[in-house]
Amino acid sequence: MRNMYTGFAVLLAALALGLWSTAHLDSLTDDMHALVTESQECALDENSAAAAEALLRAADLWEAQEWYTHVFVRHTEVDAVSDAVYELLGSLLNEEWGETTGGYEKLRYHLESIRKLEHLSIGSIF
Amino acid sequence: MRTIVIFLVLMLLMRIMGKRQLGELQISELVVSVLTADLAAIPMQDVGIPLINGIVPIVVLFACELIISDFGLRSVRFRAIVCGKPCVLIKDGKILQRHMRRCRFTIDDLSEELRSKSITDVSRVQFAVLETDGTLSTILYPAEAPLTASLMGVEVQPLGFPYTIIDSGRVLSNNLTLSGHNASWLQKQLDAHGVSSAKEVYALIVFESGKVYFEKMEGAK
Repeated sequence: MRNMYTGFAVLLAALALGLWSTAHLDSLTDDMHALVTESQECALDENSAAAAEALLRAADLWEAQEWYTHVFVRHTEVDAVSDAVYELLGSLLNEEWGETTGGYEKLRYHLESIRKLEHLSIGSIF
Repeated sequence: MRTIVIFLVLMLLMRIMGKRQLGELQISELVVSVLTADLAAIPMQDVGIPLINGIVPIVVLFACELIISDFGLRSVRFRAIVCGKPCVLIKDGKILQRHMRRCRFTIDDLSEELRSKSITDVSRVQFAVLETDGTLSTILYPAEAPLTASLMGVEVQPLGFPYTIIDSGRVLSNNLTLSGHNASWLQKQLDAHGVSSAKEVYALIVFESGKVYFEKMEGAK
């Protein structure tokens, strides 16, 4: 009987860890999306300094969460987001406005991809 | 470092699973063992995969196994579903062909199993049962069973439980106490076998009946 309770307790702990991870990742990606949107609005006004500043805050936020992302998320996915942020930052600082639209979409796509992977869905199971 | 972490986690989980895991694997245990090997190898080889991605599925598998084995202990029906039922292959010296087919057991498989038990003649076997862990248990006719002291009516004194008192030159004090002896008894044993210290002894085992097994360390004077 004790074994069964231990088994159920471990399963519940794993479930709780999974739910916490999903919630934490949702909150992190939401904050990232907000900063990316703020940066894109500045970029649309061709204000490269403000756009870069918002994007740098997003980069700082992402790096500050390394303790979480490197433990729970595949490192290739984490690096893809970091790469997308710094690529976009380069385009903004060089004021290559034609490149930035694609850059923002790429960054959003990577953030959404990470979020979807952690959510329980038919796609993430199979 | 990742390898050491995975190794320690697996050691701990295998220890929790118990000794049965090491020898006779039931179907669910085999599934856990096969999957664990694969799950453990992936994060060990690929540093891009977080260690937790390997550890959590392994822990979940072991938790499922704990639940299934505990459930199996209390429900015969559940145990039959998960582990299957033993299958009688030989009854009263005759091979049950229908059961052989059902268990997908060939004559070659049966002969091999019987030979490993030094049985060449099926008609000597009263029952042969294919157990749920895949082993074949055989029960010979009483007339074919090996001769034992009780069958011969001979009284044999049991040796009793063996206690290892010296292991590779090291005195196991706890076993010495458990065996009901003390240091002076041990010294007498050493003197009797012509050695001056325990370091010169490879093994000294005493049985509850009082019999002593003594083996001197190779190379000791």
